[in-house]
Amino acid sequence: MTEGSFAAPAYKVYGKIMVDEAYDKVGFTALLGLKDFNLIMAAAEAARVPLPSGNALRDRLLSAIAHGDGTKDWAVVGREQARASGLE
Amino acid sequence: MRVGFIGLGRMGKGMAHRILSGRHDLAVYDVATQATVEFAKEGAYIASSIEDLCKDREVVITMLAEDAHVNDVAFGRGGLCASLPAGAIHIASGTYGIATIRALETAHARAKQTLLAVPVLGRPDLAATGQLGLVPAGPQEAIDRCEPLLKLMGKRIFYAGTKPESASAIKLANNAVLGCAITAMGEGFSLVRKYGVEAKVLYEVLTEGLFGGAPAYVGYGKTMVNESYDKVGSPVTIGMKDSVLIAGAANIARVPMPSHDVYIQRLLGAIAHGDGDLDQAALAKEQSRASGLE
Repeated sequence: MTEGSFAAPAYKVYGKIMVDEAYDKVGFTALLGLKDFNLIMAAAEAARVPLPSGNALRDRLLSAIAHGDGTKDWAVVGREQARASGLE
Repeated sequence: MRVGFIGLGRMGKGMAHRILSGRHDLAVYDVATQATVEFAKEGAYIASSIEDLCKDREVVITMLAEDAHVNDVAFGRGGLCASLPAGAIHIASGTYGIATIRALETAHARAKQTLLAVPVLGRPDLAATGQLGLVPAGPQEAIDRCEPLLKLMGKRIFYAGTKPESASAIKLANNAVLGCAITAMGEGFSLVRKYGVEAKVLYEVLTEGLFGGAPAYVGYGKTMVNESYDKVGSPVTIGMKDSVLIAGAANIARVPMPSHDVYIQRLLGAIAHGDGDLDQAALAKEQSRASGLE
């Protein structure tokens, strides 16, 4: 990915955290991610813009927090996805 | 090596030329016989059938768009499984579903042949110049034997493992992330447009920031900003085809993929609105439709 279509900081940084499962090195927490996505979804609701991908991410953040990962880096949605896939 | 090549479309043509450039003994076959003319001039053998192509070949590469095509070529009467010599290798280079790869692997093994799945990353211009990314997977010995051919076709080789389906998993996952990126970008553009901001401002923020340097964002984002959806790279219908393979792979492996589900629904909506032949960036148009902007 990072040598192809996605050679950008977002993928290099968050992808690396997911590959290394280094969720304890916190840049931005899952709790803060949820706060931001709540703001995004509220702005979208006010402007009447459905954001289905935004909703999917908000749900993963919420589940990560429910599993006790709220203070981990928000790349921990990668672990939450693994949990949902029966990998954890 | 004695190599056969089936499927001389926009991608396959360039890849086959690369094999010839390595001075390999090449036989080619395509149902569209006019595609073979340029290869005859360059000294390739033009096979009259798949059975004819398979004679004495050590390796046969197929570059076919759909699972149904590779199934026909491999399992049909006089197909690869029936015609390739024992010990030969089939390099399947399209993007195929897990079930297809498993069926090919089993049938080739039964005929004492070997399957390598080698999906490719890149466009026709990269295929023509040997600059593709290749994702080979299959038995190590077969990969080693084919390495000279892989190096002619690809600049970067990502080894996925010893099971052919691993290569499909990588290719499908990469396409899934791309689809989700396109979908999410469309959501971002609709949101800012409804707050009275021009799409190109968000484009600059994305491509000069966290997403700088990523062709996916730079390319598809530009198409969205310019609404130039009729300049088609990869159409919505091809996205839909791949998406069905991704959902199939996810089902087999039991992986819920909610972001990818969103992508599928946007693809379906775009096709329902008559945009199936537009570039996949048209998912942004579908998003703006859902937001009351069109």
